[in-house]
Amino acid sequence: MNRKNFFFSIFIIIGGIVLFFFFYYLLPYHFFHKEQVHLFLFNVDFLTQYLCTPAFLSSLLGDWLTQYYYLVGGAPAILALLLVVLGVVCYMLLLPYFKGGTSWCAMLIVLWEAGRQCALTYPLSATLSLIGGGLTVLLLKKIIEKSLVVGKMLAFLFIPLSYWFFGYGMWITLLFFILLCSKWMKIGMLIITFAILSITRSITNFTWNQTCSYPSNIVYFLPNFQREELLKVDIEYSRGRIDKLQSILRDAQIDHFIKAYYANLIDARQGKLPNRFLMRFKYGTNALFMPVHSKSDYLTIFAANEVWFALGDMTISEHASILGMIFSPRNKGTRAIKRLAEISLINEDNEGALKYLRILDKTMWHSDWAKARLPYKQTAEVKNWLVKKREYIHKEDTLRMSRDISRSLKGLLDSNSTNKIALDYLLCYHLLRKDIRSFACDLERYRQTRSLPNVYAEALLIYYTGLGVSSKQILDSGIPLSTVEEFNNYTKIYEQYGGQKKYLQAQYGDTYWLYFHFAQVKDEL
Amino acid sequence: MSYKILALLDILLLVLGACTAAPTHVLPATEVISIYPDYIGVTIPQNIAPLNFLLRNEQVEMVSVDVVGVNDTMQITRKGNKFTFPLLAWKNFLINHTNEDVRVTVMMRKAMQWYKFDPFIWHITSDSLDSYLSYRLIEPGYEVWNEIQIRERCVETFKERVIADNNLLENKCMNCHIYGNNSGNLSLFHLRGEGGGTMLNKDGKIRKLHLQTSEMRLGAVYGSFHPSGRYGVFSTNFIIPTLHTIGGKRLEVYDTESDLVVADFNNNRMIQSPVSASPNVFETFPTFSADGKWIYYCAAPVVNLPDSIKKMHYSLCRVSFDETSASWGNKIDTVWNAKTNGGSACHPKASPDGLFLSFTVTDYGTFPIWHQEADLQMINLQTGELNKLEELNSKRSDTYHCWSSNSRWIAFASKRIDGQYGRVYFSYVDAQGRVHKPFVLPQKNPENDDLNLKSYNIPELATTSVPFDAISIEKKSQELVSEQFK
Repeated sequence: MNRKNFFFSIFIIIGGIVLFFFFYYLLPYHFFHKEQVHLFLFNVDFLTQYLCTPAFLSSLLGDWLTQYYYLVGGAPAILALLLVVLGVVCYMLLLPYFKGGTSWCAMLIVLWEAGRQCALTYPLSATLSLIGGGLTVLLLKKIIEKSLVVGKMLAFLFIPLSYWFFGYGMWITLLFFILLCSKWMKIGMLIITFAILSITRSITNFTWNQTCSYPSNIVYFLPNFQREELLKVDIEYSRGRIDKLQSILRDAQIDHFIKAYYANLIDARQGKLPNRFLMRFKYGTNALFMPVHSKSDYLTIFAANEVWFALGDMTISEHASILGMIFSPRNKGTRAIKRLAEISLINEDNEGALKYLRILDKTMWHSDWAKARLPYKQTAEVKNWLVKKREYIHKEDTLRMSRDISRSLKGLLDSNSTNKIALDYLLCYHLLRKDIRSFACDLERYRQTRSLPNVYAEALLIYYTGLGVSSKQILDSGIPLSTVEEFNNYTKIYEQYGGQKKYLQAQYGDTYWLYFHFAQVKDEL
Repeated sequence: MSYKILALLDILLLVLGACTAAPTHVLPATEVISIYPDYIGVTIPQNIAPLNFLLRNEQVEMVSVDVVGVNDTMQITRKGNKFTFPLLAWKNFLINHTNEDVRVTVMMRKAMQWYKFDPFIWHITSDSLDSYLSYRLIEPGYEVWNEIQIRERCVETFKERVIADNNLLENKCMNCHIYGNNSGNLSLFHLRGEGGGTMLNKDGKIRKLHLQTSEMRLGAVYGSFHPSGRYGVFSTNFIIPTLHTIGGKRLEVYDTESDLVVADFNNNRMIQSPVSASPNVFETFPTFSADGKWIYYCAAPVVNLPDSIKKMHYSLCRVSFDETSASWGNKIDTVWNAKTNGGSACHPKASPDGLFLSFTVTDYGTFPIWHQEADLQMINLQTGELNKLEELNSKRSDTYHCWSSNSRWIAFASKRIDGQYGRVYFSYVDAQGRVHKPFVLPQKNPENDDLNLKSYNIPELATTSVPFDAISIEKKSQELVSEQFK
């Protein structure tokens, strides 16, 4: 090994290590998420379907490798390796043309591709396609070195093969062939390329843009670290690591409604929602129920299922899961399929569950999960979990619009009055919307205990004051005397300073009274 | 060309199959056969594609099948739990045993030991199924869609092609593709959204129509062709989707307004009916009778929705239509009374021979897809006798049916397997009007139904293939300006 090659090798190794640590430390959840919206089945017919699409080899390899994103360090290792290979291939391709700055050019291409891998929709197969297209050129150049005639003849064969194997990687092959060939051969190659693309389009029903760029779907992308934070919260919740999620949310600033949503969900599961939801009031009711409509992205839609799943409304949870799945980049995904299987099992629909469990049984990492849930073969743990979940689902059938949240929650409480999470969500939903009347009615109807969390007592006091209810009745309703005294003092300051917030903020900043008087109710997204 | 390749593959498979050891020392099976799809004891047309299946019994190493007819036997063995017939051998066998019962014996090998299940019968009838079937493939996603394709499948082979794809149509929603006279040369579907319209195919010529006039508050939705091909009858519906609270019931869709209208495709004219324009009655799902002299439809008195949805019961009615004067009749007959029969009628379809009228019955409402109790029923139009089609129906939704051109087959969408994903089933209607146990649309890979995350929606049978494809629809939808109707 000469000195130049030695330093080049060192440069590559260092580059690979840097890439590995970049993905490992800065974007781990991005790649865990990619595995969750991905489905690769060990089934002959599933695998042979790849043969019918362009870029079959890079798609097959890419999808197979994407499964390993499930493992800690899997995605960083795979991407670091592939991007290094891409850099080496680019270096070898460009060397004859940019002798001075070849390394820099290759590095820029690697950085560009690394950036694209930071997009949620961008598949690994697209990187493999570039590598495949480049390797095809290198192979043909070797052949041409030995026989120019054979090489040029093979060039015509390599164009369609390159498209079939590597999709848009064909453009690299075509570009280099055009540089090497005569005028008539160039024209011939362009005609062949157009014919291939036309035939492919008629088979696949791709648009022209998709046909020319498959399997790539974006031109460039930059890492999105804010989204990584959201994915971290979402994935830790989906994995059931509540303690870890709590520490993440405790340390992090709640600067997005998705974080607020999960923070509320964890608090509700621990019975702390009434004490804490006002801390995240600026996101309005979206921090309780995430919006599911045409303007929502699939991350939001899918995450929206979690609260309904926790509450026990299996119809809306299923609705959000299916929509999240079908709007995800590949219209499928293991996480959504698992959730749909769970919902079917909770609904005691074994045939429905089997549909999803059979699919999961053919995956690498989720097969055991599926086996443990097969009807009539469920583990004791799964059986107990199902019994508990079934206690909270709707028992009576009514119709509601998908955004009629209050009706859904009341239905859950009518089915099981001990559904504390549903009660807290219902009451906090009313309070965030400043709908004191509905709050008071529903509290009266569904409350199980005389004692009230502070925020409920404060809100009820507003309601009773408005009605002119006597002090005795107020105290009989469970509102502590101290709260009544505080309210009197609050009212006094409020009136004394003409309703100026700054005089109340320090003493009553965490009360519902301050929210009621001063907060702007945010429209739902 | 492709048929020749298939034939060659068949021969290869047969040779390979022959190389696979035939069962020896076979013991009677002690377990119950678990076969998907359930093809046990079905009546099949002579032109159907091979009924490939898989055994769900555990640890199956090999499957062997003997199909014994009067003259000969087809014996094939396959490794694994999937069983596929060679296409050419299957075709020949069916043609040689038309109008016969053949005995099917399934054997499985487990732990190197062969076991034989009790044999069952297939009846092969000479009454052919129409060769082509179109359906919409859609994710079962309640109110919204992402990917929708309308596909056409040759039921004699496994050849399938996409005839409309919303990927090429700016992700617009596409509604049902319907045929006139079971012909690929007369069909239409609605393309929703900006720049959309009703795509009408008549002998390969595609037109884009705007089936709404300035007097009509709503556009055309559910429809059917007149036998002449000149007219189409449509309902205009304002549709509201809502969700049930009980898991499994999922979605309920109801109309808050609906009426009927006939479109004259030759003169670009909408002909509204005075008798069906009552604001106190919802009318929907219109269809022409086989001779085109009647329009059958569903009608229900207006109730307070959604609270009284369970009181919303559609009866089956009919009104006359005069083709020559393009005019509606003025008297409405009730063919099936929701009050006396119990339930609510949807999707009436007349058999092409004019003998039967089949329709879906649900407990209430107008959206049977998610109603588990939705079943098909059939009225003999000569005797008025009602047949509840018990052989055909299941405990899950059975709906969206159509007739074959010879009136011997009903194709319908059923969610009987998993309650969520619809699949196409075929049921034979014999000369006495009895329906036979249905069978699911055969797939080349019998595991396809397990792995597919799309629902088959609105199956329609045709004797010929449609003369367009997804690319030509893309082109036409961009090129054509919607023809206005007055």
